[in-house]
Parts: sequence; structure tokens; C-alpha cells
Amino acid sequence: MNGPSQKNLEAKNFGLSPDDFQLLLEELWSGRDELYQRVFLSHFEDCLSFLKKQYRASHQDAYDASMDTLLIFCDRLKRGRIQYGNLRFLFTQMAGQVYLKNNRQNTKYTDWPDHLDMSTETTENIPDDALKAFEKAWPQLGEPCRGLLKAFFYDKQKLKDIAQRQARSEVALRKQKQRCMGKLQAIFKKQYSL
Amino acid sequence: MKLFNKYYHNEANEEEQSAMTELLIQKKYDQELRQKMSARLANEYGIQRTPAVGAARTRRLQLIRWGGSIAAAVLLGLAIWQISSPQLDYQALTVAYLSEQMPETYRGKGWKEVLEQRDAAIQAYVTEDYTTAAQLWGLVTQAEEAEAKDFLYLGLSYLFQEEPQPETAITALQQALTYPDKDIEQVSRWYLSLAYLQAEQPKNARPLLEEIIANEHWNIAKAQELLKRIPQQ
Repeated sequence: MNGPSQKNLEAKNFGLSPDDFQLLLEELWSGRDELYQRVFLSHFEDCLSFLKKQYRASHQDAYDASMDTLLIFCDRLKRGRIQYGNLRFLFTQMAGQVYLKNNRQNTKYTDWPDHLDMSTETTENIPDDALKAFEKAWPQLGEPCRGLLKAFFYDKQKLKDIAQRQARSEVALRKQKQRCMGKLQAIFKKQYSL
Repeated sequence: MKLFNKYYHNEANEEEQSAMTELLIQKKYDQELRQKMSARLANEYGIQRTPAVGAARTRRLQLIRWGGSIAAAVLLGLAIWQISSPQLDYQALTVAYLSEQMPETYRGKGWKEVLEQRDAAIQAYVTEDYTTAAQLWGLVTQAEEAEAKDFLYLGLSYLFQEEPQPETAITALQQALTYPDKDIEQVSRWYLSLAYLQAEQPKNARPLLEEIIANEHWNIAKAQELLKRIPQQ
């Protein structure tokens, strides 16, 4: 690839080359979000401007939508659902979708079909006080369990890779994960009453 | 809440327990990341969710002051021009009218966005992210610049999804057929017939397949095979 087109491509991808993008993914899978923050926060203002201009969003609504998009985008990157190509465009489009969803009651876009919705992976709501109880429950779980559950559920590491790193069998790790989930559930129930 | 209640009452199966654990952990760490990023935005970029009231007020006052100064300058300029300029003849007026360029409207508003959206849709399609592709082509097809191909690929993106949506694809492919584009028409007709079959509407697929065969269009052999297997009504 020649110089200018490489530059063009990087401009469309928040200044990242394909190698940088791969590095970013590996950092996220390893549980490190510093690079993600550095790259994406520097474009936060552009996203705010886009939402304000395109949707006449208020500052707060634009801020909330951009922040929500940062989290969703990060999650989708870790799940391998976003490819290198035109990340900047995809990000702003997603921010638009999130803005519309957040403000659904107040806009004329109420009839956007669900399959176009990019804002969340799940629609299950958890009560606020349950989340607070979970905050208290989580540190009570032993470090090995926390490390395993976070790596698997949040960093989206494959069980096979975790097993390989820990020089253990995948079957043993799967059993441990199941036990850890049971323990966490029991601790959580002690902290929270319906 | 249904899943949460099952989880809480130990009624969740393994898959549901796993889903709830993931959700709780995701929410916890998302919240932490949100706080970290908010702090960083405020400290390093000066961006806050609620802009400082004082700053906004100062900016408003400044704008009012600037606006006032500009209006006064324009009025003064107009007054001087009225007094000093001679009466213009039609040629001078024509030149004056032609001195301002007519704004470009040839390509329609937002054409750049459409090109970018199409580009991203293609990218999503080739990487088999059909949900994103459908979403992006959905945006493209709302624009004036939309072409037959955009409707065709919108339809295809619905058909190739893990959970195909033939009904939505049918609408898009029907739209593609309304354009006078012979090549796209052949492909659209073939996939429209498949969409009808996938949607269990063989009655609607039949005439399309017959047309493909009669006109010796693309995929004629496959159309013949399908036609043989569609039960006569």
C-alpha cells in the first residue's frame, strides 16, 4: 500500500494502522484498556459535535450517547464483531443509533426496526440496588475466581486460551468457572434481598 | 427482569446463569470504565457532562456582544454605501448578481455521507457482518442517491444473516426491481424468488422463476430445479 492511501485508511481508523488495531485488540483481550481510552477519548469531541450537528442533540445527551457508544464499541471489539476498515464512520453511526435509542420517547425515530438497533447486546434490566449489592459481593469472591470470570466474561478471552496460559486443561477450567459462578451467585444472594 | 428473578431464585439453567453472571460483571466493569473515562475527559480534554454554568453564561454574553458589534458595523456600511454609490445600470447589477457563486446542489445534500455509508456497508458485507451491512444499507437506501444495487445488497444482507429476515429482504428486493438496471434486475429477481421461498410464499416465487427461465436469465438451471420441486397449487 502506498503512502497517501495508507494515511487515508489510518485517518478513517482513528489513526490506527492494521497492526495498531491488532495491538489494540490484544490489549483489550488482556484486560488493559489504556490504549483504547487514549485512542478513542481523543476523538470524543468530534463525536459530540457530530451528534449536536446531525441530531441537534443537547450537550448532555450527546455526551451520554458518546460515552455509551465507547462502552458498546469496546465490547464489540473484544467480541471480534468490529473489523478494521472505517472505524471512525462506524463509531459515529453507532453513536447516532445510541442517541436515537436513548431519546426514543422524544424523537420521531420511534419506529426504527429492532434489527437496526446497535446499542445493547441484551435488554435484561437489573435493578440499581442489585448492582450495588453485586459491587459488595464481587470482592468477597476469591481472586482466582474473580480473575477467571473477568477474563472470560468481560475481557472475552476464550477458555482455551486461558487454559493454555495457566497450563491447565480446558475441561478443568470449565469446571472451575462453573464452581466460581455458583459461589458468586451465593455471595450475591446474601448481599441482596428482593 | 425475568432472567434476573430466575437467577436470584436459583431457577436459572446453566446457560441462563452464565448470561446473568456475564451481565452483572459487564455492568460492574463498564461502570468502572465509564468513571475512568469521564475523569480523563474532564482532566485531559476539559470535557464535562455538565458544562460549568459560569462558563456558558460568559460565552453567551460574549456572543451577544459580538453580535451587537457586527450588526452595528453592517448598518454603518450600508448607510455609507447608500450615500456614496452611483445608480447601477442593468449590466453592473448583472455583474453584481453573478459575483456570488450559486451553491452546488448537483449531488444533493449529504452525498459524501452516502458514499461513506456505502463504503462501510460493503466492508461489513465482505466481512460477513450482515447485521451491520443491513443497517448501513438501510441508511443508504433512504438517501436520494440510492441505486438499485443498494437495495439489492440491503436485501441480501437480510437474507444472509444468521437469522434470515426474508420478509424485510422481499421489500428491499422489490425496490431493486423498480430500477431500470438490467444486470441488477436479473440478480434481484433470482434472490427475490429465494426470499419468497424462504418466507414460505412459493406462490409468489413461481412467476419469478418462470420469468428467469423464459428470459434465460442468470441461474436458469437452478431456477428450473426449484420450479420442479415447488408443489402445484
